[in-house]
Order: sequence, then structure tokens, then C-alpha cells
Amino acid sequence: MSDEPLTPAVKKPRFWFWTAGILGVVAGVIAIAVLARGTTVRDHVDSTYSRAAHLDRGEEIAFTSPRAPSLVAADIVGRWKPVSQYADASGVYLRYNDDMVLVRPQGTGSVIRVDDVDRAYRTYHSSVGGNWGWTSGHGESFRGRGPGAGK
Amino acid sequence: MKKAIVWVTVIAVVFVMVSVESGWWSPSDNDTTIPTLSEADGKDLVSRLAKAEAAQGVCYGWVVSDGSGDPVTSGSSRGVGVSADKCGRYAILASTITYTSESSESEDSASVTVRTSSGLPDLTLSDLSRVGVDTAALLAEPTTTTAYGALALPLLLAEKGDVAPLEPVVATAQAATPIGRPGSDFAASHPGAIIALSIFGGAALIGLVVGFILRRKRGQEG
Repeated sequence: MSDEPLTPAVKKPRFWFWTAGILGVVAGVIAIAVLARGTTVRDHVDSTYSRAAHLDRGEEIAFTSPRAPSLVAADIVGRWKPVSQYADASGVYLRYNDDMVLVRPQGTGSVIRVDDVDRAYRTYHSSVGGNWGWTSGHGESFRGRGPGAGK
Repeated sequence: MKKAIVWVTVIAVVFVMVSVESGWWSPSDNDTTIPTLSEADGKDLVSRLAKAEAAQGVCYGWVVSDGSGDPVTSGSSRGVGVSADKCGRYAILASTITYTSESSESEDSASVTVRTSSGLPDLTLSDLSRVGVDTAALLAEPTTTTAYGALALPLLLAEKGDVAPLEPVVATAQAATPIGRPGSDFAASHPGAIIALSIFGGAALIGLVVGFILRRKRGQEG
């Protein structure tokens, strides 16, 4: 125990309860602000793009955007960081822990498909490959220096 | 004194979290070698680019060069080491990486450009950054980033309306290995919010505990 004298306010339980209350409110506001934007990439896609039920394929649900696939994919990646991503002539494949998002060209815009990652992998593994884009940032087929290797 | 200890602990925790997040403690090295493609990876890349060429009539290629301009790895939809500019219509992703040693005063640098044949549109750095090809990615994983950028060229040209996109290949057989779930999407996408919540929530909890201890003390004294 310190011998230093404490200021009267710090000695009062009420000071600490008020401090805890204010900090708790700030934490609550941050939590609400974050949770209001959704807790999964599926929520983000659902709240950002137009639902297109007629383009659904089984459990794979579809959305549309008037923007090009690479723009849509960059927007989604900017909000929700994927485990890995892969782009080829058919579209941009974003792998998340629970879901996969596939952004495909449709006219001048895009169709965005969301499905459970396991089911999607069973469907598209021929496109994304065994290792390609699915095990590290860009896949482990190519051996780079790795993040942080440069100066 | 207790207050000072609490604040020093909070500041230390925040510093550690921020420094880990920023990669300040990442190991650096003196290795200035740019990795090349393995034979299997090169064949895989060529085969994927060849499918796009067959469908779109455009040869796609890649070149990774070091700081002196010497190619480290190159190839195209026609083969490893075969330049795409032999075709009438082509698009080649060319990156140049310069790694400097730990003792050098110069920084590592990277540049990237897309060379296209006449009649095909220019693809800009902005186009490339949307598919993950930028300076940071090139410095971290030069060959991987260039290869993935080359694979994305057919999509970028399709977006410009010059070629048609391909249909995804839907698998008919089961994947050889199931896919894993290496972490939490929420934690990976909201590190700042989680750190802020931990700090404010933790501080609120500490305040509550201190308040209850003081109230109990007062009760005993009274």
C-alpha cells in the first residue's frame, strides 16, 4: 500500500463507479457501431448489394451490383479481409472462414454469389485449385519471401 | 502509486498490441534474392493462362525482373520462358523488384506495369490494385503477386469489354482435401474495434473492481 496521499475524489467509490460507467458506455457504443454493420461478410453483402433471388443456385444466394467485379471485390475486401483471394477470367473468388464470395461479371456489372465455404470449395475447387489462393494470402504454391521479409 | 502502475500496464499493453499489429517486430533479413517459380507452379500457371487464351484469343504473360532489369522468371500462356509478345494480341504483367540489404541506406522498391498489344486497352495501376497487385504485395511476395496478377488480366480486360469472361469450372469430383477454417473473419477485419473494446471494457472492469474494493473498505472502517 502506498503512503502517498490520494485525492479525495479517487478515494470515493462513486468516482470509480462513474468512471467505469462512462468507459462502459463508450465500449457499448463501439460494440453497437461495429455490430450494426454485421458480424459476417454475408451480412455485409446482404446489406450492401441488391438481392437477386432469381439468380440463386441451390444454397448459393445471389446479389447484383452495377459496378465491375474487381471494384465490387475491392470494396468487399476493404470491409472484410478474406483469408485469401483468387481472380481469373471467370471472376474474383474470396475465401472467408465461414463463407465464400464469388464476384462474376454480368453485363457491365456484377453478380455476387455467397455460399458456405465448404460447399463452395466442393463446387469450385477445380477453379481455385488445391492450394491456389486457398491456404495463404495468395496461396502457397508460389513461394515468396513472405510478409515482413522486406525492409 | 497504484494508479501509476495501472496506467503503465495499460500503456504497455496498448504499445505491444499496436506494435504487433504494425509488424514492428517482424524479422528482417539480408537476403536480397527474388524467388522464382517452381517447375510445377510454372506449369500450373501456364495451363490456367492457356485456357484464357483459348477462350479469348489473347496471350497472357508475366515477367518478374530484379533491380538490374534481368528477368527472374517469365512466361506466358504459351509456356514458361516464352514471351506473350510473339502473339498478335497480348497482355503482359511486368514487375521489377529491388531488394536491398539490411546495411544499405536505400529502401526496397517495386514497380509494375501491363504491356498490351495495340488494339487492347491500357490497364492501370488502379486496375491492378483492385485485384491485389500493389507495391506492398509485390515487396512481400513478388513472384506470387505477379503470377496472380497475370491470372487476373483476362478478367480486367473483360471488364473493359474487349473480351468475354469465362464460366467458372464447376467440379464434378470431390476435392482431395477439405478446406480449413483458420481463424475468425470478424477478428481479422476489425482489429481496431477489438483493441478499443478491450481497452475501454477492461478499464471499465478495473474501475468497477476498484470501486467495490473501496466501498467494502469504507464499510469495514465505518
